[in-house]
Amino acid sequence: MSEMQSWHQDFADALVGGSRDAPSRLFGGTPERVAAGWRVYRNNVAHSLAEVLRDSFPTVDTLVGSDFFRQAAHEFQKQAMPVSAMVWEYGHGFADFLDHYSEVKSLPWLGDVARLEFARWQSYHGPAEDALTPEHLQAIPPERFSDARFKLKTTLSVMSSDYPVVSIWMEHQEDSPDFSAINLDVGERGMTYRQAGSVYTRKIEPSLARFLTALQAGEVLTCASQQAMEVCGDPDLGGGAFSLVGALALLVSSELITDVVTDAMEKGIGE
Amino acid sequence: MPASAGIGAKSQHFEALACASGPVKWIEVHAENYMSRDVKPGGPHHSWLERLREQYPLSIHGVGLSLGSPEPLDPDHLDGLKRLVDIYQPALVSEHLAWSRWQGKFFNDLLPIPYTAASLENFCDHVDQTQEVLGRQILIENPSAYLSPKDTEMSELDFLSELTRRTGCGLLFDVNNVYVSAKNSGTDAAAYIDAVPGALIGEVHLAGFTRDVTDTIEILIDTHGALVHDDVWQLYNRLIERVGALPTLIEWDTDVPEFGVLESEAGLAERVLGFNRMLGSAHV
Repeated sequence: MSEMQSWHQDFADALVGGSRDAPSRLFGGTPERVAAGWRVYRNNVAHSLAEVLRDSFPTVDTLVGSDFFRQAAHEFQKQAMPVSAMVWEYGHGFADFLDHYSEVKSLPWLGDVARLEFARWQSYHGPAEDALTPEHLQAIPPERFSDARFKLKTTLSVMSSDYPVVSIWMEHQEDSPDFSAINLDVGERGMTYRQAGSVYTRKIEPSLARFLTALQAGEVLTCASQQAMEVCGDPDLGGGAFSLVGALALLVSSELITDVVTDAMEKGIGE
Repeated sequence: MPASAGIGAKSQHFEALACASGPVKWIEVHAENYMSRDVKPGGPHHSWLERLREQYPLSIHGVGLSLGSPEPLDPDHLDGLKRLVDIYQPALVSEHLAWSRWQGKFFNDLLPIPYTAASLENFCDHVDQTQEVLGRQILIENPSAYLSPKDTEMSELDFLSELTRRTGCGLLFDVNNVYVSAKNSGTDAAAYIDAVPGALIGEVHLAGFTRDVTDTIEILIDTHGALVHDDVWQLYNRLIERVGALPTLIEWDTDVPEFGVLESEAGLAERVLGFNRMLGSAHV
């Protein structure tokens, strides 16, 4: 390692560790002056990364309070620094971190609220994708539908939680949140997607969640639909009802289908 | 880029910018807020930038390329920056005399480097590479300093002058940074302002700082969260009077106020610039 590289290594090591003592061999000036200057860099790094997380997780911030959030962000920072300058990606592991953060044991659903928020954040920052129009879809011969694979926008995400995470999140978007009607013992499924520049999150039936997840995994329409029906038939999996027509109408009206490919086609109809 | 006033475009001001007809003549955005790994970046902030780009000349300001790190530049970052520059065709592209990344960790701050022959060579290589990939000149901004690296062998201005000579890059001259660094290191800001070659400057930055006092040690911190200080306006006047009107940006990144405050700061810069434009080319 060159002298210049070891200079950067020492600087970086002290920053990662959040060292209160400046690596004084690197800087000129009185010890007091070096300590004061070092504090600025150390605080800048810690503060700016906490703010990046606060931007990505505004509801988690509200739920735990600003001071507590900052403390959690600093703990997270000790485990994970950003790997790139696209810092909007930094919150990727924050939900997993909260799942295991002993200070929030009493809020077991907090990790899933963070997961939902990060899905919204990723949807916001995701790529531009063109949706198929209803005319495109009408052009598919009906006999091809059963073995068709529907490609969905990458800005769509489906989540499943043991907690009423969508309700908790939605209530927090209200001016005067009221949690009295939320039963913390009931799990929920949610979908998050971007349409016309806005990001939406809605609570969905377990069967629809399974249907969407199956399509995302590349299953053909019949198979995805079958999986959704299995959920309906099994109360342990969520029960409820499923309508294939209703599900397709939702995908079309939310402009979520980017292509439809059948085994007989070499290319999708959107290409 | 017009030799007039611009502001850093923040999302809370997009609508106001779209309707504005005041002193703000151009805008600047931070590259990293718009960069993505996707070939076709999307989302509301891109839709806004496309719209504002029709209305204002644009400057793309990078804050995370880490040109000062003695390791190869992040190829993904360089690719993302190139995509952005290709899409938006900005009038100006700039980065910092700093480092922010080392061995796979990104620190999200502009950290200082010692000004040595070796660090100059490293920095020049990285600027050369960036300009080659982007296919255009970039501007490099002088940093705010809170500590003085021990091994420094030359002044910041000598480092920057040699950098521009070897690579053909220009300077983004931040007057507030000059003031903050000079106060923090006990050097003479006015002397720096008087010595910088005007012909090298492609853009000027103005911003506000905060004052931190602990145990009788006072440090100025470049927070971009306050009005431009009177002393910094004086230095700016002094610079423009000597070198002529230059594109001048009001930066405000923390505790961002309402649009009118930024417009009024841009108006103050515009007054200095207008006066100097009126004097014509005699000063250039």
